[in-house]
Amino acid sequence: MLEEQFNQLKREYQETKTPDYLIYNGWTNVRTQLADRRFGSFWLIARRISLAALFLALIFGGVVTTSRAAAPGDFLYPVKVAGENLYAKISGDYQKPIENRTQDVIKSSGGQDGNLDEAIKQYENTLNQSKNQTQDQQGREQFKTTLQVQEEQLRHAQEENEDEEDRHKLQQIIEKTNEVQGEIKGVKDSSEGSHSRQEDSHGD
Amino acid sequence: MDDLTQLIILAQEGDQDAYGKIYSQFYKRIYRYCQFNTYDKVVAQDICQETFVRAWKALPKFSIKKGGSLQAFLFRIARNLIIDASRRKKTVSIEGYENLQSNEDLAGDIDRRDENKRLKAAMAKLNEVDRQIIVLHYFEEMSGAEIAKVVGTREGALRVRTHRIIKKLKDLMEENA
Repeated sequence: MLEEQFNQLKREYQETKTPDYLIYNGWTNVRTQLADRRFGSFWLIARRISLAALFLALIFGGVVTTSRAAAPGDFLYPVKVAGENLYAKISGDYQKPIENRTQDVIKSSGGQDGNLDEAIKQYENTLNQSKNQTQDQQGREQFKTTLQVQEEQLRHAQEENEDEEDRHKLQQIIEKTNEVQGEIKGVKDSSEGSHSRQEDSHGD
Repeated sequence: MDDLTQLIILAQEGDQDAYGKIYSQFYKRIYRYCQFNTYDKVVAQDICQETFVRAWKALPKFSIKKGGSLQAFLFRIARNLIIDASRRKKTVSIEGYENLQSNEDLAGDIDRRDENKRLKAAMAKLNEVDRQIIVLHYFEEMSGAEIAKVVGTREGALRVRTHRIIKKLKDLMEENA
């Protein structure tokens, strides 16, 4: 009984006549009151930018994390090197990249992991970048010490390497390391006079 | 992706023509809902228009992916505006329900007209949420989930509540018989 009454009232409800004004002018009236949102609301844009930035950060973070294990010649090796050099540029600490590039060279020369030519190329790049960044006295001293340590390790690796070609390549890079050390000493000489001339005699 | 979803996405990005199509799909339903609840054609018209203006502003926050229903979204806005209007008016008049003009020619069917009057009078005595549940369920034929969103209640509690409302309505109609 009640259901029948509902159905009757429902029919009356659904047949409610819409005023002519709404039919012919309703939309025009509403449209004039709509805020312009052609370029998206602030929150919609902000949300999209945030999501895009988060996505890019996750991708970048994933790539950088994966690249840490990359060896010379791997696809992500340049990413690894670039990341470390960027860190060095920001922090001023070039010791870590130099040490890492030295290890890459040593591992590649033993045939263990990676391409030796690529490792040497990146070592030299990092060496040149580091050399140009060391401006103050303390930085030069630290850099010189670091290079001495790397040179010893490279010599040690050369002695243990049975491949003649690899030993030759290592020799070239040892000479390059020595050359940069000499450049650092030369810069120091020009600023400190007789004191640096004494160090030169020890170095010979 | 259906047509309505596409229109919603375009409207969210600022396409007023797309929103115009949404308006065309819903304005008659929103109007009749407003008229039934306010028993005043002019007020119903104003509320109907204002519903779409406010919906446009709130549309960027609406999400279909999170289970959003556009009709529930629109009816909720309309309902809130109706409540605001009724607070300003302060009284709910039973006569208002009785005086609603019907499009249907009931001149030849006095009994049916009287029955409708009795049912409307009984509905007027329900609290606002209960009345909305009846209108949205029986007249607008909305799903439980949508009704819950419009009136702001839990979907799980709706079925029991609807049964209770029906019982109450029967009692009210017997009183008025």
